Amino acid sequence: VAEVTDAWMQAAATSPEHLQFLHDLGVRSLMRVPLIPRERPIGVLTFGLAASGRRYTPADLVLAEELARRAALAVDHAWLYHQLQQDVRTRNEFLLSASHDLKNPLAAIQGQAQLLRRRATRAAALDLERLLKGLAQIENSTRMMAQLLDEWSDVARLQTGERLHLDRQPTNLVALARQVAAAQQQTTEAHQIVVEAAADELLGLWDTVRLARVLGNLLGNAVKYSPAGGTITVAVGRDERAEGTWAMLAVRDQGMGIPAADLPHIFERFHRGSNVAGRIAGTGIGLATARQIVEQHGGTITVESWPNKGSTFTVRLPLAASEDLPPTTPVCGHVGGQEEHDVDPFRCAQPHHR
Amino acid sequence: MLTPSGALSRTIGSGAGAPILVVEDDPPLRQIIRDVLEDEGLVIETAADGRQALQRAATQRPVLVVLDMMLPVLDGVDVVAGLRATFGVPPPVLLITADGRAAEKARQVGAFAFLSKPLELDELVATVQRALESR
Repeated sequence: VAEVTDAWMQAAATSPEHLQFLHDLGVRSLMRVPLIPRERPIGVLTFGLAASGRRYTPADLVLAEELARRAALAVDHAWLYHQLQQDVRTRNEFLLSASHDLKNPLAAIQGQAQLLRRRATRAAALDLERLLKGLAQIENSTRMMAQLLDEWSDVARLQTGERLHLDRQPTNLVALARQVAAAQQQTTEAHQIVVEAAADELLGLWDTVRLARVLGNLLGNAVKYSPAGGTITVAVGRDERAEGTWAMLAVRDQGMGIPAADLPHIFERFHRGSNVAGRIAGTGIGLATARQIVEQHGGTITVESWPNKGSTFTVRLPLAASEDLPPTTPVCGHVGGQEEHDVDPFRCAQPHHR
Repeated sequence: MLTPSGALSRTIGSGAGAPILVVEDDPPLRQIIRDVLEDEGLVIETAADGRQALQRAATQRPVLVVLDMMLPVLDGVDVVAGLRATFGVPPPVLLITADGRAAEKARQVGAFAFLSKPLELDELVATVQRALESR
């Protein structure tokens, strides 16, 4: 804008305050150039001339554009560097936490082997029943470690933008829920895990192993984050909606809940609730992976939580066979009230399908 | 370490009914520690979290506490503080940790010894034995 006029200011101003501001600046000539590194605009560089009486020329604009190009790159590099530093930090935290997670099953394997060895070398012979029990436990622990490793390689794949290759097969969600619940019940005495299902069968074409992992994750969290114990309910059923019938699976606990501020981020990789980070061991990848697995099935995962009362995670899966869908970016927000709770519930949900 | 089952308890004993309290939240590991110490003829009581540990300690008056540092509800530090509040002079604590700062944490809570995960059971038994002998 070689010559800034009052009419131009009127048109350019976004508010009366803005107009006043433009007048106060006394700008007579003006250039605006966008900052666009890597095809994504990140800002605008504005040049203005006031009292000097000089006016910008096309040559000035060329110079300004060149300056903007360099400034955009500089800002972008600084931003990328910051991102990278953060990624390295979260990766380190993850490594620490992951090695901690591997240690318990490893300790159980080593302990069981040593226990059997000690017994085998004693005068009183090791009886067969104890031997078999010990070996079964070693197998369990190795399976647990293998599952952790599978999960982490899925996470690594998803992070590089690769999609999981879903191994869809006829899966009975009710049977799966009972099976995973029974396995989880083995790990705790303080909790009662109850499976509620109207029917014995709810069939769909899903990746059984990965859905078991999703459910295992939700149940594991329910146990972990309700340290005082209590009932954990797994409800499995059909959800009839205008756009079709969904299989629905909800895991409800009576635990510590998730702080409202963390709720919109709880499905983000490495994000952990401020009430548990550093206090309860965890890697912050369980829910992120769960979300991606569910979304690749064409489903949704949502959470409702009430601090100190508990959380409910709900998974919806399409019952009709569908194409694998790419994971989507979650859109989260707070919505208000359910009357039966005196604390405001906060939701974090993917708005599509809702 | 090829003590025949029961020999250790005859030589050192764990007191008339006073148990060793094993506090560990991982069920398989808790069972293993119980088994290996029971093989030595020792009386074992277990707890899965910090609060349970303090409840059991108050009623059972354990001669020794084998304590995992990272626990739900109350962690190892809280448990030792609770023991001190209950007993004045708390029973000796053998600390088990999964991270690399075991020595520092043992000092912090005043444990007489510490072991790192994964546990060497021979070492666990020997350490428990030493503690009971020096009582």
